[in-house]
This record gives sequence, structure tokens and C-alpha cells, in this order.
Amino acid sequence: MTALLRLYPRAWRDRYEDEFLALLESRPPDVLDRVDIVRGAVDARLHPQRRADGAPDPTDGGGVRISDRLVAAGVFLGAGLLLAGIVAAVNGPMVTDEHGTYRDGAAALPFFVAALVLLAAGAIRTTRRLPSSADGTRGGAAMLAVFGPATDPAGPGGVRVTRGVRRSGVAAVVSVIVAMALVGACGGAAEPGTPAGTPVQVVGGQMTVTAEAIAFVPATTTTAPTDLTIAFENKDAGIPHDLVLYAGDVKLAATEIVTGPATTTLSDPKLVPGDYRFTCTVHPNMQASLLVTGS
Amino acid sequence: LTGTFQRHIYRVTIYQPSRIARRQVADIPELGRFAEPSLYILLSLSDGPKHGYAIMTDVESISGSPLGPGTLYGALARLEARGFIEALEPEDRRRPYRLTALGATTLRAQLEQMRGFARTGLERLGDAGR
Repeated sequence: MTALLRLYPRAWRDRYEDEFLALLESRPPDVLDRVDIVRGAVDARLHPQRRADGAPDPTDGGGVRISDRLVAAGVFLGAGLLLAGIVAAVNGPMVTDEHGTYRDGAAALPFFVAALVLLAAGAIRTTRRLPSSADGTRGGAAMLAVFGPATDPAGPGGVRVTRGVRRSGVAAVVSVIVAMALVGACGGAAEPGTPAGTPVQVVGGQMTVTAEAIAFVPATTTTAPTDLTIAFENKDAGIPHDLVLYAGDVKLAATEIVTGPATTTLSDPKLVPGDYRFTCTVHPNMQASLLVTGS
Repeated sequence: LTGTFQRHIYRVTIYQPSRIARRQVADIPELGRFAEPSLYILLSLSDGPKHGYAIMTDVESISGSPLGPGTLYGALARLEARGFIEALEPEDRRRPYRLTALGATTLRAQLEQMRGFARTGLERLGDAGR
């Protein structure tokens, strides 16, 4: 008999086991009673009526259902996928083709589709779990459940929303806030600025500027000789770049535009000591600096 | 034709009234398969506190059908969680349960509804027979 009782959850046994055993001693269970006890154990696990600390919890007349937990987990997952999709879109590769130069966010599409499905399932479930008495306010209540977890859970005549569904709502709100913060942070980081990186000292009078991942390497070069030979290597496969040398706003020299991988040479710039910068006609965000110190 | 008529009679006399009755019991919110045992338990406790075994035998004698221990305690847990009944101090492992004021009010409301339901039905049957 105690074997059957072991099917019941711990909180239930703490509360009912003694009197339940006393009852079974007064009336030894027949086969149907045993089946009923097993059904009761399943019910006690699916609809525990009390929280882990033993306090009564008649949530939605049946506690939090397993399927509610699954749907709530799905909403959490959907929220996470939404974030992942946004991150993937923001960090997509730069692509230049016949439409121009743009950031390719195609990798985010599967994330967005999956997130849409999961979040929609959560919203549909939310509306379906409302009691029939909520017919008139079903749509509004669904919106409330998702966007405003302040819905009165068991007020007289109020809309009853299960704990799992309420959690889904909280998850959705939190994820939207986090997503906004994340996009803001990424946007800030993606601001074009002065190129960073370790300055490179040129000793021989021969230097190479490399275009790689829509950026010049090295970003900063210091050189003493003024009769420089500047080679330009484009490592971005399929992406056109050129190397243009400016002194302030004055364009001194430029290579032809080459589609990577390719190598070319900047023709014979005559340099006096001073600050110069490199840029790319196709990608004006690409910047590098050149400091000629003189001998 | 007879089949259709019988189905119609079934729907009118058995299916719909039982649905109405279940709807009334279900006003004890969403108790599912525990709605009927719950109502019997409230009825059983209406003349004083009883422990599990006493409730079980009492309900079986009122309803005429057996009440399993799992169902009994599933219903007791629901009624207690909703504040319709409360547990008293155990006497030699047996814990008596008592109807609360809320439970008594709820039971009374249920019974009043049933009385209205029964009276209407009986009056109409009487009218039809005249």
C-alpha cells in the first residue's frame, strides 16, 4: 500500500499520508480503489493545489498544468530566439552586390520565424485557457496577459490567468526590454569611428595595406621614409575595394577598384612629413591613418 | 424516424439537463471530475465535522455509488485550497474536516439553484400531464 503512496508528491504526503493510511486501514482498498489511488496520484502531481511550501494554491482550479509549463517554456525560448535573431541581424556580414553595399541579415530569418511560432503559440494558449465567462474580454485579456502581468488572477468575476501564462507575459515583457537595450548597445558599438589597432612602424620604405572584413589593416602606420612603395591587398572575396590616399581633404593618389582577392599598388605618392589617411571609395567607413615623420 | 426521435428525447431529457446540472456544480470553479464528489463532500459536512473515512461512507450512502480514496482526497485538497472546508487537529491520525462559512454559503447557493431547477422541471412535467 505504501508503494502506491510513493506515487504522490512529497508535499501531498507530508500533509495527507497519515490520515490517508488511517482511511485505508478502516477500509482496505479493492482493485478499483487502487486504480483510483493511482489516478489521485497523477492528479496530485498535475494539479498540486498547494505550493512547495505547503500553502494552498488553487490557481485556475487545477494548479499549473504541465502543458502550461511547456507553453511558458516555449515563450521563454521564443523570446530568446527573438533576441538571437536581432543579434544575428545586427552582426550580419557586409555585402556589396548589384544592389549596393548593405548588411546581410538573412541569417536571422530562421530565428525570427521560430520565435514567431513560439510566441504565437503562447498567445493562442493564453486566450484558450481563459474561462468561457471571459468571452467578451478574451482578446483584451490576452493582450493584458502578454503585455501587462498585472491582470487580477482570481478577482471576483475577474479574468483568471494561470501562473504559467502570467510567467509567459512577464518573460515577453522582459525580453522586449532586453532586446531594445541590446539593439541600443550594438548600435552604439557599430558607430563608425577612428580606426583602432596597434600602430605599425614601417622601416624599409615598403608597406602593404590590406583590406579585410571591410576594414584596413593596419589601421595606423608610422613611417620615416618619404619615398614609400604602398601595396594594396584586397582579401575580401567578391567585394570591391580601392585604396585612396588623402592629405586632409586633398586626394593625393588612388588605386583602381579591385574585387578581392587581388593585389595592386598605389602609384608613386610623393609624401612630406605629416598626417595622411587612407579610405575606400566603395566603403567610406573604411579608414586608416598614415603618419610620416621624416628622417 | 424512431432513432432520430429517441436521440432527440435523449438530448432533451438526459443530455441537456445533466449539462445544466454539471454547469451548476461547476460554479465551484473548474473542479472537473472532482465537481460532483466535491458537492457530495460539502453536503456530508453540512451537519458537522467528519474525517476521511466518515465522509467516504456518508457520501457513498447518499450517492449510492462508491467513492475512491484518490478521488476523495483530490476533492478534499481542492475544497481546502479554495477555503470551502478547513482541517481540524488530527485525532489519532484521523483529521476531521469542517465546513467553512464560505463553504456553507456556496453549498446553499448550489442547493437553491438545484431546487429552482427541480421545481421548474416538475411544474412543467405536471403541466404537460394535465
